Amino acid sequence: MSVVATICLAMLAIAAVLCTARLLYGPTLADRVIALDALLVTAVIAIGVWTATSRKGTYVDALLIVALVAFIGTATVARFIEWRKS
Amino acid sequence: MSTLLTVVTGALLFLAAALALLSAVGLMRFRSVYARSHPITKAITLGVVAVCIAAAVQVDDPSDTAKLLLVAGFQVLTAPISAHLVARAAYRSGSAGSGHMRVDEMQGVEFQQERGSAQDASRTRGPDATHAQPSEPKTAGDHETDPRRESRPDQE
Repeated sequence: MSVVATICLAMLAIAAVLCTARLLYGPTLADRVIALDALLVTAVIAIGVWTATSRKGTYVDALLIVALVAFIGTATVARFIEWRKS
Repeated sequence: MSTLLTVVTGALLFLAAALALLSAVGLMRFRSVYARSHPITKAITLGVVAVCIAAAVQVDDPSDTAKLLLVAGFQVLTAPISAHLVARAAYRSGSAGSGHMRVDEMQGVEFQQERGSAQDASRTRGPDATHAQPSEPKTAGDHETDPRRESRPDQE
């Protein structure tokens, strides 16, 4: 199981690097919002991988809160993009 | 039984990590905001559901299992909403670019400004208030001079 965890966390690290690159290079603000959402969901998956491999429920609350913050932040910035035009 | 459970858990974790990696690759390689919102909405949601099921099977405390299933259901519920909000904001702000969009079905649709003219619309709200909103002619003028709409007949 630890080999699976290492492989999964390495893939998630590459995914996080790609999301950060889109977050930095994104041409518009909507690209950056989508990249930030993807980065937070990648963090959720990483915490879930740690939870499943270590069989401890320590960070389950953090997983729930990160998922909530990702949605609320995305919705808020989307409203801001729409509001900024006028 | 335990071995089978371990194998299934490992497969679900690998599926989730692979979907997250593919979503990140799609996020880097796709060319418009609308295309980039697809892997973040669908593929990564399946990854979250897979990893939550795998962790919910493995943890010991039943309350942790309930929380993980709650996260999975919450992600399924909120991912379409956030993607819709971002895509709508990107289209209405006009800054997203057309990318490889061949057909613009929202062409000619006049948007009702919800937040921008909220101060004006809240005073004149009524059955005859739609003609008196000051922001509508400006919005229509922006759409007529939008360069991406003039290039549409070339692509058909």
